[in-house]
Amino acid sequence: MASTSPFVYDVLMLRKSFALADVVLLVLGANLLSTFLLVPMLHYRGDELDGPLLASLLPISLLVAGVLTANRGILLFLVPVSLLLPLSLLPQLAGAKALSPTGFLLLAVALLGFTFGSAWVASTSRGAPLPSKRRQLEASPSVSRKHRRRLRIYTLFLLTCVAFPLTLIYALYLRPDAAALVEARFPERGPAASLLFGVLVTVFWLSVFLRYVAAPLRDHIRGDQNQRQQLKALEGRLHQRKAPASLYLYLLLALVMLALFWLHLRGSPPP
Amino acid sequence: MISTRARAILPSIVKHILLEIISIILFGASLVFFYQCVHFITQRDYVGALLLLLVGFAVIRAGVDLARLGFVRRK
Repeated sequence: MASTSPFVYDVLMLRKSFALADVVLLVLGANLLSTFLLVPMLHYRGDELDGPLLASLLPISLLVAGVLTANRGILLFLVPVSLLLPLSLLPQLAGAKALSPTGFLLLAVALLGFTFGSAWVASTSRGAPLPSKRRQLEASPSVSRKHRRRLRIYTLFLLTCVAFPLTLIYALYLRPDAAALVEARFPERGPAASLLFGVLVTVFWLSVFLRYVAAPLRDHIRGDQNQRQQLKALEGRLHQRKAPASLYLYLLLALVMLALFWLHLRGSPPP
Repeated sequence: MISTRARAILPSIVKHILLEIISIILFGASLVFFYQCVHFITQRDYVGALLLLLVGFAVIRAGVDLARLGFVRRK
């Protein structure tokens, strides 16, 4: 490579890595499709599979289009959403009854793998130039301390992002009595109810994620002025030995809601 | 032997560590409330689930405020 210019070498290396990344993403997508749709279809005992089979062509074609164009909208939004189309035609393919806990965990890993792969491919194929110099944050002790603190915060965010969905998924699908409870409460529409609860919990988690994880991280990256002003105001209150009023407000709200919940439990018959 | 400077700084350090610990506990508590909320939804007790959801949100907000307070104190 001595005679090749650095620019040509970089372009060649990037193209090579994109090709490999495309293949990996295609495999991850195929894995997700088979775990989410094809395997439950193979195990399904019924005759209504024509519609879902036809509908599953949509996510397959979207996956191929997404990999070819490396479009983040297609890969991160349209492909996962299109997976729900065959399920809407036959809700029995999803839910606590269709998948064992191990199958559910495998599906979760497949979805995460595809999401990370898509994000990586979409971010590296934008043509953004790589930085010519990289700053070594560990070099200076003062920066290193700051860097370590940031890493701690990011680790806490990561742990929260793992703990919250896992707890919600466990409560909805993986608890030993989850399937029986839903079947008992919704005898005619058990799978549909299970699917609806899954969608509601997903929307709920996404709203919590956007509000409490994505928004602070975005502010942190941009060095948001608003955030700085809020922290300055908080600092000012602290000098006056005053805690923020919103803290008392939210604690009061929690206590009032708990009291209402207690009254509600006393008033309603035991389940 | 604790020096005078360390003696002056110690209460502040203890305070911000305490604030951060309480905020982490509040985050954990909100998770418990959200878990119970899903449990109540599956039992078709929607009023109870809604109340628990609001408790969870209020607790997580209080945790955020306490974490901010701890951060400012640390600075």
